[in-house]
Amino acid sequence: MSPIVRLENVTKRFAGNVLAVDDVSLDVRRGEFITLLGESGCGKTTTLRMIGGFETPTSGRIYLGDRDITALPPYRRRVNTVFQDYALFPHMSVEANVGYGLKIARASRSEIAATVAETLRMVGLEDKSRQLPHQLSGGQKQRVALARALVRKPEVLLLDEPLSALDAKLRAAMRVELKHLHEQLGLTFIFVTHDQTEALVMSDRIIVMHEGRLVQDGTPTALYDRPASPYVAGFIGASNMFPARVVAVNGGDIVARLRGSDVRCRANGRTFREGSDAIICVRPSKVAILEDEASLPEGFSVVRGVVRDCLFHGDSYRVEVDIREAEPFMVDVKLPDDVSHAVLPVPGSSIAVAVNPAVVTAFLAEEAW
Amino acid sequence: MSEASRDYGRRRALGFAALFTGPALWWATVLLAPYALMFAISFYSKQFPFMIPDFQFGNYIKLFSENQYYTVLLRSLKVAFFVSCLAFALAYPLSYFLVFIVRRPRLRLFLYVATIIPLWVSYLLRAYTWKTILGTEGILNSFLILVGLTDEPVQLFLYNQFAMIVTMTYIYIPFMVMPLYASLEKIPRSLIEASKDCGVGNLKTFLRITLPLTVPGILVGFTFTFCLSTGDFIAPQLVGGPYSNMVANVVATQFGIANNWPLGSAFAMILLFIVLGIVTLSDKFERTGRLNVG
Repeated sequence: MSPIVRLENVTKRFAGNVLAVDDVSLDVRRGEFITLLGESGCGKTTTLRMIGGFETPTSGRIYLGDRDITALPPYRRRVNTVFQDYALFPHMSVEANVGYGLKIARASRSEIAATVAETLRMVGLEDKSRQLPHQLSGGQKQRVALARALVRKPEVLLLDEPLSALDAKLRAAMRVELKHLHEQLGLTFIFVTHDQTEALVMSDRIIVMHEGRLVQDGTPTALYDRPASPYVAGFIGASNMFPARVVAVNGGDIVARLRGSDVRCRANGRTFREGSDAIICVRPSKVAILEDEASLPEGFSVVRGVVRDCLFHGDSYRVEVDIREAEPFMVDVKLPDDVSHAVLPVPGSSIAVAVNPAVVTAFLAEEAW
Repeated sequence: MSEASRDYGRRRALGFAALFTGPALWWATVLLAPYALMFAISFYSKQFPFMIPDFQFGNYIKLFSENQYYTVLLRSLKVAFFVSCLAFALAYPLSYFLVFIVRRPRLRLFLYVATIIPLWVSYLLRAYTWKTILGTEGILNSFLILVGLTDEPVQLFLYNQFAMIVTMTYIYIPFMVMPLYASLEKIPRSLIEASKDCGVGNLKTFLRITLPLTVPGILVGFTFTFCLSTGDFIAPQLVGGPYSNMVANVVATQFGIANNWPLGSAFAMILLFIVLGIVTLSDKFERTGRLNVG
């Protein structure tokens, strides 16, 4: 099936020669929930605004279905945007905000009323239709913005950090609600955020951007388990990342030496040479404290160090182990059901951590951070 | 209450008095007292060459019944209305251009300051400038003769209401530009984008979003230019010619030449109440507008 949105080598250079988006190509499938993820200034919002028609690419083409929309103004595109600051018209009621586009398009009065009422019901605001935006809470404004964007039945819905102004609890609830709305409507959502949790929870596919470039394109699990670069590994989820020296290469496996320990890991298609520098990366949740050295599974490596700190995280403890590197090696320890029986490592004591080679990602040192 | 806090309270009250007694006295002597005096005098009666303390409405009745006076009042309102409309018609596109079209912030600031800066130049000087532009030996006529559009200097430009309206528009336009610029600048760009996102083109976006959101600025601009130009006194004298007397000129004549203070006071009071009425009205509308903008 042909993509609903296609970006072909899109570049955006702002006045003053600021390169905001650098040669991005991307296909969005119909009905997909896709997230552009990155730090502020990575070009994700500019990319979204080019799809919405608020910026024109310096070079490259943008297609909606088979149609080249690169030069079309926003009011001629069948896409709608939910703006970060909601952008509700302050002088119009909720109803008038939602029905605004329909009214200007000269839909009949009864048709507008019916469509607006139906859309407001969908976002759960049917009782607020006569209120003005300044009388609504943040979450309600958010829903009005959503209703206004959905009422014209766009082919693609663009969402520019729509949850960033909400408080943590509401944000979590809206994540789920947006995801369900996406499933229910079967629309294509293109979502922009700097919040990795948001991206992981909601998306079918995540595009990580960094300095205007697309650095990884994959499902949330792929991004988490197989980050394409040290940058992605550091950006998504917590990571132990250390510079290391490759001391042995045998087939698909390599051994990387840290200051105190040797860690075995998979090359995963990268070509390492003995004596070259590498960066190794492992999630704190995927390693475990080794109680008894004799029970070390075959092929696992051991990282030794001294317990620096033990931090309570609600359902787990994060143990920070000093392994004589700049950063501590972090290990997440799940708590047993009966917390009172948990034996926690004492700061200052020696500790060994078992590391499965399958959960370690090794990068070449010259790969960008 | 403890001793220390009572002491603190007393010192605060003293400080308050020290700070505000001066301004309050100033306000009372140079503003409140003259207004009160003028209000009282407007009811006095006149027996040449003296005025006699009295309470009667003769002055007001005279102003509204004698052709020569109410014509002047109507002329003042008419001129002020044209000046405000002309200033608005010129200032809105200018402000819109500055806020939405000029992209470089420094250039925008420069152009904005350039429109405001004539306010720092003496009013008289600015009014005189138009005399030299519009006069028979003036720049405009020299230009028209130079390009051959006319052989003789055109006398139509100066000493009439047209010259007065042009001059006053020039003088008061910064008071229209400032609030319009401010209200346009305050509109979040995302609202304009959201309108286009809803499928609405540029013209309708302007009419439905931009224009309604600048109504408070428009009201303030109209209030400023209208009130300032109804009370203007110099432009009629310098460039207005014989049939251009405005309220302020008549008031000046009654005080300075005709020696009829009661009539002058009454006329001044009428002007004062018209201005107060406009300010109150526009303030009320502006408040409702502001509520909606949220």
